[in-house]
Amino acid sequence: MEFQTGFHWYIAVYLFLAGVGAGSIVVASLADIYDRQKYISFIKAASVIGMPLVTIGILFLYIDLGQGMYKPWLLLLLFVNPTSAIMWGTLILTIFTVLSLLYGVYNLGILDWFIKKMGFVKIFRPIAASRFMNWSLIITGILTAGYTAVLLGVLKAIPFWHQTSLPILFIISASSTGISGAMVVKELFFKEEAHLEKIETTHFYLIMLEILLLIGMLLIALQGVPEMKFSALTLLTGEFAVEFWVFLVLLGLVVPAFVFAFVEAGKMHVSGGKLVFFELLVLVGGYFLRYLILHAGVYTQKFTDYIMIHY
Amino acid sequence: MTKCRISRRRFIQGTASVGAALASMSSFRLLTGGSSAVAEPQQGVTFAQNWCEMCFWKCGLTAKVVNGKVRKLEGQPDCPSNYGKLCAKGNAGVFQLYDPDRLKTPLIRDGERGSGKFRKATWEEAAAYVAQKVNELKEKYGPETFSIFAHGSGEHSFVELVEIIGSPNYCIPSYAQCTGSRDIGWALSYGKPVGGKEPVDSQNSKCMMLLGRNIVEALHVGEMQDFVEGVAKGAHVIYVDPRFTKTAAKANQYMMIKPGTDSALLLGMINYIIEKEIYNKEFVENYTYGFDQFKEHVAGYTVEWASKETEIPQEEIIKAAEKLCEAAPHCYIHPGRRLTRYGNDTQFTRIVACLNMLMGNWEVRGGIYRTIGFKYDAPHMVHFDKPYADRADGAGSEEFPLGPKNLGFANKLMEHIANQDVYPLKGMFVYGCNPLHHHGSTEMVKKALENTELLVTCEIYMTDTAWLSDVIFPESTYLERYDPVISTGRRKGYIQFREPAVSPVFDTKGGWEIAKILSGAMGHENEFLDVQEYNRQAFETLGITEEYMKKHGVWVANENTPYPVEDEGEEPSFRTPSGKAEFYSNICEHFSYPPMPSYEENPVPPEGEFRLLFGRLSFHTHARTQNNAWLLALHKSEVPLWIHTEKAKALGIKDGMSVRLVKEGFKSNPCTARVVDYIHPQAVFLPYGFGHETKGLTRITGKGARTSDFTSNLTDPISGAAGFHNGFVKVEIA
Amino acid sequence: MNATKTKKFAMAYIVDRCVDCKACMVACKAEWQIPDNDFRTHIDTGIAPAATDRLSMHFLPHQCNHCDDAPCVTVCPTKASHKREDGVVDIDNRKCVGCRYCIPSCPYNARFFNNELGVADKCTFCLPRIYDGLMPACVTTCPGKARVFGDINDPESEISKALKDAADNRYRVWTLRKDLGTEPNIYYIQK
Ligand code: SF4
Ligand code: SF4
Ligand code: SF4
Repeated sequence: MEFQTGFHWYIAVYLFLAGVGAGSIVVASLADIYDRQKYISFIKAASVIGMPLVTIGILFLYIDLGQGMYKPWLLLLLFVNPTSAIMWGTLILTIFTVLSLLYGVYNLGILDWFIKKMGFVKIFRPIAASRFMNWSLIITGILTAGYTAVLLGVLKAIPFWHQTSLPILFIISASSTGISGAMVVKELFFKEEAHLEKIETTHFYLIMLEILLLIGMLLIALQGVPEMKFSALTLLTGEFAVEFWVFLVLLGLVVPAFVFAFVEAGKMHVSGGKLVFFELLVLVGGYFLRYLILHAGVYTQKFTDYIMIHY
Repeated sequence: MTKCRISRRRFIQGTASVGAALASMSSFRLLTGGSSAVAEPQQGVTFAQNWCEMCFWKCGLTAKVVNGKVRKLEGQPDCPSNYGKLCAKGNAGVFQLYDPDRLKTPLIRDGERGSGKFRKATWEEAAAYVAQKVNELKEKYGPETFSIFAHGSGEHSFVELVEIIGSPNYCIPSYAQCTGSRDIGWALSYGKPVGGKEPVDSQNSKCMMLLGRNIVEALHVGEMQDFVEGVAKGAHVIYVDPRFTKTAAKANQYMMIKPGTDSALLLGMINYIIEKEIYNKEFVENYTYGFDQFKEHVAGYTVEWASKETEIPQEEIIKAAEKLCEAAPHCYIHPGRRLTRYGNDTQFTRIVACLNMLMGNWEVRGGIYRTIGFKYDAPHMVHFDKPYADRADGAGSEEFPLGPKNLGFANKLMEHIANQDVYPLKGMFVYGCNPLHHHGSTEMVKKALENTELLVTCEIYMTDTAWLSDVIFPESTYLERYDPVISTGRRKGYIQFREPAVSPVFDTKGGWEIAKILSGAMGHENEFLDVQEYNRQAFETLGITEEYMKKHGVWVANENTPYPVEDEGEEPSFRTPSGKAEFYSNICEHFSYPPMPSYEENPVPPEGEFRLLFGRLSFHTHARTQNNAWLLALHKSEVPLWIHTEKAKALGIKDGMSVRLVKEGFKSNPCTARVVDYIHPQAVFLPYGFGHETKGLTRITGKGARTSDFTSNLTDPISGAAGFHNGFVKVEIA
Repeated sequence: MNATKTKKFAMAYIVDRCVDCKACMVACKAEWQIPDNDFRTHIDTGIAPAATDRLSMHFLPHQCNHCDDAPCVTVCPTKASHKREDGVVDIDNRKCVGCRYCIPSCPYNARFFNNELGVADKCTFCLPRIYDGLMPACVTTCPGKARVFGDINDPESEISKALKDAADNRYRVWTLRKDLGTEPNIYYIQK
């Protein structure tokens, strides 16, 4: 197997940050619909990271560009080819970023004086606070998170990515890491008492689901075409085994799952620094998930293997 | 018991012809000076003719120059060396031209030897410095104290310089370190050497047998083209090598031979062919000498015995013998190229020649064709008196009467410089070669260099040898200079032309110009002709115009058939003492060498050690191209060491691991282990030309092992050439 | 009826003639001044598994297949990568933003990132050369004459002849990764 010139780690960072940002806003919007009052600290925390993380993610995408970086007018061309997943993504990201910006501004109450002064209050409030806004954010947020996987998934050249389960996995991971991100911010900046058990429960199930999906994906990959199998093996036993088992499986999934399970069972209570720590583990896991899937995928079969088979 | 009688006259004629033929091997003996005055860089696209100097095959090429920069090299479609094609090295000539690692000005050493401290000097300064030193040494030790090791199209510029100084000690290492034994062995059998463009007619061959002649990787375009053509036409290819090379990949029959037992294989085949009487009777009866004795001589070499010696199954040996005989006379057994293996290579070549004689493939299609040379009255340039002193290396002396004086024994000369045991040898010139790599023992060369009071190198790169030199003259590459036209022979005879594509990129000059400057600085009054003037005179004699050469780069001058025996019914004739191809060599008998070749057992590596085999990769030449970034990119700068799976396992070595060669406590730089099944367990293989010490080759300093640190330094008793493959090494994890 | 008028460039490798000398790789590198360790064409060396008693080694050149249904064209957001009338898949350097997306999209590992220009890079069948009456650089230099190039719609072209010859002699002819439906235009011929 030969390693193809793949994406840089920048791209993994982008996939990860876009996921966290979008995930946190999706969960916050759902909470908003459910009971804004109860979850307001969470919503605020999510608003702090939502749009900024997605934007930082896009920045990573930007610095990964070749000549587009110093010829920014070329970026307009990103919209010209409707068959390109990048075009879809650019569109989705643009909409999501604008919407989540409005939403964030509203939730955090920043720029209020400005909006007042400009006399926007009458238009701004009803839009930003509307259910329509919430649902738009949920939809574009899920699309954003899913898109990061579709970007990879449409490439039939890379069988390990070319799986329907990949977008699902990424959406789940985005929600999970989004919750973690918002939780960390909440613990650090919005310390008011809040009862977020429902979110914690959801988080636990998301992690469990993620574990199951990952197992399923790898099992399927092991039975797949040679490249796919090879990709799975690089994770399980090969080149990336250490990162896979330590950072993704152990620290990123198993440890948080255990802890949250104990919390669920009422056997344990974590908050403050401890909570931040475990949520950070989830985030680390989220990053490694993107990084590992990105790198394990890009192996191609040597073409000679195709004729050797006939001998 | 047919002791043949040969008239004394014929005998002397035969001996003389061996020498004369060998003389023609030296690439050319034309003398010129040179100036490389080139017009200002032209705008737009222009083309310039040249021949490639990335290796020594001299493929004709045309350089495409865009706005004063060489952008691309392409083969001349009509050049019989390469018919429009270039190899990877040839294509990488552009990178070499603009390589920032090149030597850019004359340098004079300004610190301890090996410290790498040099100061830049002007040409006048450097020339004056050398002239003064040379005259001092000459005064003190006599003119024969100087030696020159030279290789490349400009080699004769410095050879003549040393002759003008008055020393006979010039060496062209391609004899002693490459083809010497092969050419002597062939000449003893057929009355003429193989020659630098091996006349094996692969393209028409029905069966080819190659013993370690890795045509595909030790690659010369024309030779390889012929081979591929033959393969494509369905020739049966028999390839014998302890290692499965890329040539083996094209073979129908590959035999993994126990290293060092090639003679046994051939003798076994010869025995079988004679026993079964499947040889070419007509040829053997009419055109060979000493067959009956030979038959008796090889009677003991049965296939069974050969199989035991070589570890090749009997059926395989028989199959090879039969395939050859079926194809005869349109078949050949390749005489090899660098045949400096076990120190008994002349007799090995004799065996190869004898097997070829049994095929009767002389000057017929698919066999050994006649090299169509081209002779003309080349202009004379510089006149000087031939030096009187005897050569220090013994070439042509009583000890080595067959050693050609015009090529010399680079190996022996270096030894005498190391030991200072003939007469003081205190001044050394090196042109275009790199003794620290191409000799059998680096240690010995280092000792020799220590003994020299003046070491002058003319090079394009800071080689290992240049690194230890006192004065370095930077040469212009082939794309920046004129050189005297050359005449080349293959199936046609032709003239090749070199003109600069661009003016020198750095402050460099061509070899001839440098020699002229040095000769002048030393106070010699011999006049060197300007290279362009030389070429004008040559064209006049040839009856061609400069315009023609500028347009085509090559002029085919002789189109006589290379298969006169087949096409014109010419009787095969040989310039041997008997006038026939000799199974029984009269010259050998005369000089008390065994007249018929026997099996000589070569030592086997002791337990835990390996025989070091080395050779070329298809994209590197000698130790010259390894720093070329385009070529390095082809193997990502990795230096592989092939080792057999079982042996590697025992040593705990896994594929891709970093390993070192070790010999008597000396350890090489790391190489990358290639753990494979397709190398004989007794051997390891290392590509030649890595492991440079010099800091001037920035991309490869310290990468890989240098073969000459580990090889043997044997001497063939007949040819005087070297033998490298009895070097035994250990391998350890780095 | 007009089919003969449209060109469709294609290449074939006569696999038996390739000796892995890599002249093509370097000629191409020179022609296009490809920086770093990158090349527009490659040779794969395949060695038969040790288990077989008959060792064998194969050399397979590869480069951009100028696919008729090219994933790289599909995924390129700027349409810098495009399929031309004459069959060549080309990259318009003026448009490419350098997003690298096309690189993993190619099933043939044909693309790489040109760090000097900041754009994606790959074989263009030597576009200007082939209209100047020359062969692509790799074909011109190939000492083994393993590479054959030409207009597949012209029955007199070298490539048409080679493919016809292969069909007449029942040589094995194949393209890479047919399963992906990319409809590549590089043929492998083996006796
Ligand atoms: S074989 Fe290659 S390096 Fe040698 S002369 Fe020909 S093109 Fe140049
Ligand atoms: S130049 Fe020709 S023979 Fe050499 S590697 Fe390339 S395709 Fe094969
Ligand atoms: S081979 Fe790759 S780069 Fe070339 S057209 Fe097909 S998908 Fe595009």
